[in-house]
Amino acid sequence: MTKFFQLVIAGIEMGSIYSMVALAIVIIYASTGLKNLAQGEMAMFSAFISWQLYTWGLGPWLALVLAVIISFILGMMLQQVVLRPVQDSSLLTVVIVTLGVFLGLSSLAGFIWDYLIKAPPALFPEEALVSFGSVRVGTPAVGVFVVLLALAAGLFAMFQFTKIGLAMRAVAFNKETAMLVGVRVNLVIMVGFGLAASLGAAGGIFAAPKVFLEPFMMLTILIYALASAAFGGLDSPLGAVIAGLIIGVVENLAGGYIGFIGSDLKIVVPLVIIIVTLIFRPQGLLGRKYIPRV
Amino acid sequence: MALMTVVRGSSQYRMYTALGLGLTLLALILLPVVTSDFLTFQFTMAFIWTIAVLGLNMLTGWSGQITLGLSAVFGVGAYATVILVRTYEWNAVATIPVAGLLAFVFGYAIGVPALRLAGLYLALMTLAIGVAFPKFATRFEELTGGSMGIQIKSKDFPKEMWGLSRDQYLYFLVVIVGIVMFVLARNLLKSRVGRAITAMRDNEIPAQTMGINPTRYKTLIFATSSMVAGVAGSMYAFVIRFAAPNSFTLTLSITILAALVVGGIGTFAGAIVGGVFIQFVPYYAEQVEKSLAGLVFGVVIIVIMLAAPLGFMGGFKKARARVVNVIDPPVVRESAS
Repeated sequence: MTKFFQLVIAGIEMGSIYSMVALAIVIIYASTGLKNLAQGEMAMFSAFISWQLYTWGLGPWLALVLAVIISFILGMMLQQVVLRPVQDSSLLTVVIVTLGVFLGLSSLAGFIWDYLIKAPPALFPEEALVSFGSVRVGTPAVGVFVVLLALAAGLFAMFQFTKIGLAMRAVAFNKETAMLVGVRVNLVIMVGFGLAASLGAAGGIFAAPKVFLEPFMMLTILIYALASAAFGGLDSPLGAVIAGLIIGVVENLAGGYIGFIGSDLKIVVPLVIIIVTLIFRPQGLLGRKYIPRV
Repeated sequence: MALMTVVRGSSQYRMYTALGLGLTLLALILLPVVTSDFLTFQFTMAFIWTIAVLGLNMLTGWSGQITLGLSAVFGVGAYATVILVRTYEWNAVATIPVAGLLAFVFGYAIGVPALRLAGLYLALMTLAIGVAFPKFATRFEELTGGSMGIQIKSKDFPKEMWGLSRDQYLYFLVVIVGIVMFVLARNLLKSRVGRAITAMRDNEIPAQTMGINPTRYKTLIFATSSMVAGVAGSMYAFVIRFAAPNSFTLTLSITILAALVVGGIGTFAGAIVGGVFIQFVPYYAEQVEKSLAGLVFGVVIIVIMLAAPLGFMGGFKKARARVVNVIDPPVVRESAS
């Protein structure tokens, strides 16, 4: 059983990172109907910013906070310059443009920081926080999970109790109606993008010590995050958190117990989850059902 | 005002079209004769990308679907050729249809679950497949040679054949295969299937009420477009004589997409422009800086989509309209007299 619990704990640790990126994707999708395929690369870029600040002599946590704030601003700028002109265009246009951002950002990161793998600072001490018999619960696993819960709680409070949160919910529910009652829709979407960029940044920075820092580090994580977003329901933040954790755990268990998958083919897990979700429950666990009209 | 007016479908129009095609063909034949082996090789690669862009265009341009798994079907085609030649000692040319067929089946298998739902999910699933493919290729080591890749011995492609150098005869092979693919694609687009697919792209629900089965046609076009991309992959294996997992990453899919956008979505000639673009830009850009090509592609995709979504061919048609005005034939109404 030790192996089982150890795998579950490792799964929760990775799952927390998937949840953060999935939350970022869901927040943008809910308010604009736009699925940001560049979210992973944005997170990678933020992780590089944090690493850069750290090498300039800042403490790892201070670098994290600053990088998250910078990402907020960069996310808003990206939305204003690149995505705002296309946000009401066809899906094809939006997907192509986000892919342009994807390729542009990963090349830009390679241009600035080159393609050599970097070892970012650990944010938590490596030793076990507590042990139950032979099961060790590592500090990083608990730390990332607690950060995720804090972020989710903060988001929930923001959506429920603040004016901007209310405005974001209004825009997500119906853009035209929100506009008619005086919500400044574009401002709200801009803030939503900034928020998503910050959440993704947190995901990227926590992922960096685990997958190592390089321009393609978020590629696989993006797939897991997209699978989490689809599985949880593309417009449900709570669904994204739950689904991210489930996928993290399932992925680790599958890797540990199914010989065919092993540690190389874990990517099969999100693939299967996407397929199963879209065949049996296309709106996801907690998503709203969408009925097309002519 | 345009200098002359031509009615679409008239004998004059057909003459100009034939003239244009003839000149293109002549240029294609003369190119390896008048240029160096090096440039011939570059154009061979450009035309391989052109075939892949044509495959993507069949899906994206005609049916409005998007795929990021093109690198995977391209890889299936390439691996099919390399493995059949290396391990099973097939004649290289005989592997082309097999590579196409395998890519067709592979595309069909992806299309069946993915096309039941909206385009968003297709993008999502094909993205996952594009990322997963190199990992699968690495994993099945006995077949694919793992991360080190698998190579064709050069004896399968002699240095000279029919008085042509290797670069030259491979060039002609790619051009011939490319022309076959273009004719195939054009005929499909002009057929009942093509009309059904375009009707679906423009508005799916009315198309459905007219008796078009969306799942069936979408899967069919997805598989056919995969087949074309698979043939492109097979040609790639001919020229590079090597297949390794990191040749078929997601970046390849996005690069082909960039070529499509640059050339012009939904046009045949755009595929050639796009293919040449993605072959030559990295060649010159990487002499300056390794990551410059990706940066250029990313920025170009965004700028074109924002400013000129029809790409190069959109601009070309506008410029042509200043000289030649192509109009549709007048509709003849039967008068009730």
